[in-house]
Amino acid sequence: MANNVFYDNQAYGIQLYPQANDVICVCNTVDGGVTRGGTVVGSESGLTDNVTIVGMIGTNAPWYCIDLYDPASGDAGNNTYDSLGFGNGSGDFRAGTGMTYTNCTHADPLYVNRAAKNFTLQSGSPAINKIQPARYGYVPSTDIDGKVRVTADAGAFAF
Amino acid sequence: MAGTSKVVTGLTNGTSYSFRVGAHNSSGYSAWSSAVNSTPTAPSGQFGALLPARLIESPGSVVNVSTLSALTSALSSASNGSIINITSSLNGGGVAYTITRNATSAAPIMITSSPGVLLTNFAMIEVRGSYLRFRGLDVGFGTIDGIKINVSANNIEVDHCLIHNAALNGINIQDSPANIQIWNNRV
Repeated sequence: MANNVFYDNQAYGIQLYPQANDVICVCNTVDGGVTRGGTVVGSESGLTDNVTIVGMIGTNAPWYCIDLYDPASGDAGNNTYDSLGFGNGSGDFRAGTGMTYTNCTHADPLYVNRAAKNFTLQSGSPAINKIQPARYGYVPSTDIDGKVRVTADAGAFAF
Repeated sequence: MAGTSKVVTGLTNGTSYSFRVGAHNSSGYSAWSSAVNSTPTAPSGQFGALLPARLIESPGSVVNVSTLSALTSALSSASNGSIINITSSLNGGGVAYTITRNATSAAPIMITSSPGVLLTNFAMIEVRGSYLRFRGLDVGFGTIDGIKINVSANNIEVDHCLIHNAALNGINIQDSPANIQIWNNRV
């Protein structure tokens, strides 16, 4: 799942449960939402394991940027890297079993015009080159609009 | 001097740096040269190396359809590799439209649409087949989901689609389908 924009959805932008195993989710932008927003990972009727999230931008959700459906579940091997959260109602990265967060930070991604649903990045955005070299292999070579990615930017839009 | 070089380490990709040089010998120091700017970038060859391979482009001819019944017929009878192009907006009447066609890895079938075509008022477009590519569709006002990829579906790609105003989920991937690729969509 790569280079997608999710915005103003009724519930979660991205739902990875139940049993959404072995998902690679890279360079997506998720903004707003009515009841939840953001991304949820976890178990309901079955465990969700081995989810890799890289370069997510999750902003302005009523709930979390990354939510865990059941923070006390037995999910295992889920990892989120190099992601940004900002303006989320309950926090950015929900802690719980089975999920690690590496280089995930709270910062305004500086969209060009959020009100107009323009989620491209302004100069100086902390999303620019957010993804660390160890995860370059997950970075798509182009962005949602086909623009060649020169730097390892988080989100659907290359700077 | 010709042949003189200096390797600068510790730079950050994407950050612009300015460089200038000067010389020194027994007569003293030269003026600084004009500055040159350079921005290091990640080796592009490293990007994408850990991502799974996408489905190949559908190699066959285009089949135009303008009604739901024609779409159903095309899905069942079109050759593997065909590109099925929906040329008129379709109203699903609140009913789920299920696609069970199985194509092949060498010849995926692509379902696409002409500009301005809206697939509206389906309960969902439910995908249960294999080696199918959905590209550039405008799916709106699903009474449940926009596109649902379900159960036995495998090797499905949704690319450059606009999926909006669904009552529940934009894209719903459910019950252990395999190798599902969701790229470049606005949901």
